[in-house]
Amino acid sequence: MPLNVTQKLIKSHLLSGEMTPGEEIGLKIDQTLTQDATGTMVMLELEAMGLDRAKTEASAQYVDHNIIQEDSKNPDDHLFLRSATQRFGLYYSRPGNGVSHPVHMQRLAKPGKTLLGSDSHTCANGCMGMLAMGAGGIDVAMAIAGEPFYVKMPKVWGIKLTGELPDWVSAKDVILELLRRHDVKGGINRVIEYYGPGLKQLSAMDRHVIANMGAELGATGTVFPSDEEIKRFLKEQDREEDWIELVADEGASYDIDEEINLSDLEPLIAKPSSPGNVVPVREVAGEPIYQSYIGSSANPGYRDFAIAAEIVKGKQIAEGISFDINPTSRQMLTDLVKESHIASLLQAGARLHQAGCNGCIGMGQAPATGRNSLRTTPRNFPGRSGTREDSVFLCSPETAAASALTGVITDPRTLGMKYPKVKEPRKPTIDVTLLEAPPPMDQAKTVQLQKGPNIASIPEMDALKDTLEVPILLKVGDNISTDEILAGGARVLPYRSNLPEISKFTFEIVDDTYYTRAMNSRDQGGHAIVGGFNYGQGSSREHAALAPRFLGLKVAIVKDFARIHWQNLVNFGILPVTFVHEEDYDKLEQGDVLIFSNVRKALQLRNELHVEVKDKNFSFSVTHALSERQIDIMLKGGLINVVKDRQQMVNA
Amino acid sequence: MAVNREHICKACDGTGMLADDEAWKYTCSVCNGDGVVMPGENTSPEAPFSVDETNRTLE
Ligand SMILES: [Zn+2]
Repeated sequence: MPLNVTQKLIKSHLLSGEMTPGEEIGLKIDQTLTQDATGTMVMLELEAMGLDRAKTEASAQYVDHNIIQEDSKNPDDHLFLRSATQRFGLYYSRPGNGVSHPVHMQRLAKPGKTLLGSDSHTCANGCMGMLAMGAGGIDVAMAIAGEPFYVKMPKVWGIKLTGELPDWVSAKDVILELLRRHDVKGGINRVIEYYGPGLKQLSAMDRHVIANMGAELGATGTVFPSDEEIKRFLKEQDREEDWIELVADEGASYDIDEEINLSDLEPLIAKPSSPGNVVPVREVAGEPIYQSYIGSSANPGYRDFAIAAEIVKGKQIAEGISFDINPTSRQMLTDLVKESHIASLLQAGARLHQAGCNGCIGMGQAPATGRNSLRTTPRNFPGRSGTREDSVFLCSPETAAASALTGVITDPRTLGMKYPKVKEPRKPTIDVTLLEAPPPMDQAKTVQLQKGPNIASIPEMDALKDTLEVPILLKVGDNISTDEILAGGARVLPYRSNLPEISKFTFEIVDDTYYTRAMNSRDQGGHAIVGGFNYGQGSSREHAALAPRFLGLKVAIVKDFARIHWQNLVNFGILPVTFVHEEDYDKLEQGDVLIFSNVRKALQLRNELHVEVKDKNFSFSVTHALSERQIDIMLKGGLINVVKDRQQMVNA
Repeated sequence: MAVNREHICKACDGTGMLADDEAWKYTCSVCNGDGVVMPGENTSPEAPFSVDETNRTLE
């Protein structure tokens, strides 16, 4: 059967399951990337798993998020991450080297491989003929330890590109067009695969722009073929030997078909406050702006900066405008300096920032309250820019540069100048020194993890006991969010690599006595929590499961779970069960002691468990939705223990 | 409006903003962004907010 590129990538990495859309498949992961915000916990998980050395072909740790050093916490994290990469055999990308996605593409991405990253824009590397996916930190830790990644087999959404991009229209407008058509949930459970004659015109980095914002559509991944253009890119990076051809077979088909005629596109813009709120720029032209911001992982290419430089060259940006340049990789920044593009930008009035995520995630360059900010970044949900009442528009570098000149939102076609032709440097700079390669095994083994005062190892977690006798320490209502379980704010997040410390914030929003009471229950067999509908909705924060687990939470009994939190509970060995009869929720009180007997056997034999309430003439039934694989995880006390067992077997 | 220091939202420390694991900012779901939680006020989000597989809040 003729296969498309996505099917080829999945087929060659399939470890379990059937390639039927919706079925769970296990995939072999060749490469991983982690960024610093998520990476510290991943490294601590690797330590807790007892990993000797990364089992992947290449894994890289990037420091691109927390690069502002206003106290010792971030630099301490950087030291820890560097020591952990050396210990476990990972690449370490130093602060200032740039955003993970373009740096990975330049230095490590390989056609035909799989990449899993603890960053939602990992999909950007799909531009290289890879299956690149974002995932939670523990999933990536598992992949580094050589475990499969489990995901639902996606539908493949084939998008045929025809025609040619008109002047003043670029790659960003292609992905904005797709968001205009399908909005932010349009790609869920799908891999987007681009093909067709229109591809010829899109450089590898243009494809990166499009693949990056596949995340904004909610897609599992975005895949481009590995063709002559990818060969050219790799050759330019001095890595031609990493190229293989990977294109769809003659006669290959897709689960969903769609076409974009590039010739029909015009400059587009996503209005506040959703990447799916897309209209033609001309519809909002004339709106005054306060800020114009170029760069980030969504427009990281050399041409994205160079085109802006050519547009503003010899001119001055409008009065009162902040024109922010956020270089995405140091390698490209060096070339932009060499080719005088940075000079053009600075002379026009731009503000130059260090290569990293910066304002894209709200770390610096937050706009003024309520003022319009034009950005080439990937997201404009409320507050993402760092300003609570922000008003962020997403657009191409052409639109951002044109608007910086006029001070109002401007369709770049109305500037009245010729569309500048940008020449890529003939021999681009190759900068490998800031991406430190892992040391050889014998050297790696001697490396000690450098833990500053704010970094604490994950303590050992015990296996599931056969009898649980646990008090209900907390009874909560419906819609409890992960922000109520463990908030992610400026007060809390600095302790993300310190489980004992961060756990002090657990449930403090709901009941500030929980922490003390939980600590008391912890060594007496732990405790249970009872909740209503949609328990654990919201952010997929792993700490919202890990911290209660650290405090002795054994069972969560609720009316129903939010899916991602449910998954996190399983991963960290907290038994998630739901009431068979919802009215039993009303009969339970905080302080009741619940007894689960023969729970290990019961879990394996059936879905229903029987729970007795101690000293009350009352019992009730709960049910679980665990798969066989998840039951195994639960019995062992969580994923970390599963891998730890396997590492010990291998090392024995 | 002056913020009453006694009723400051514990989740966001009165800033009205939280961040997900990837450090992306979003409006605090506990105080709905005003930085204040009055006694007895329901701290659960007014409406469920959803996230995708890759840790992104879709709001
Ligand atoms: Zn708040």
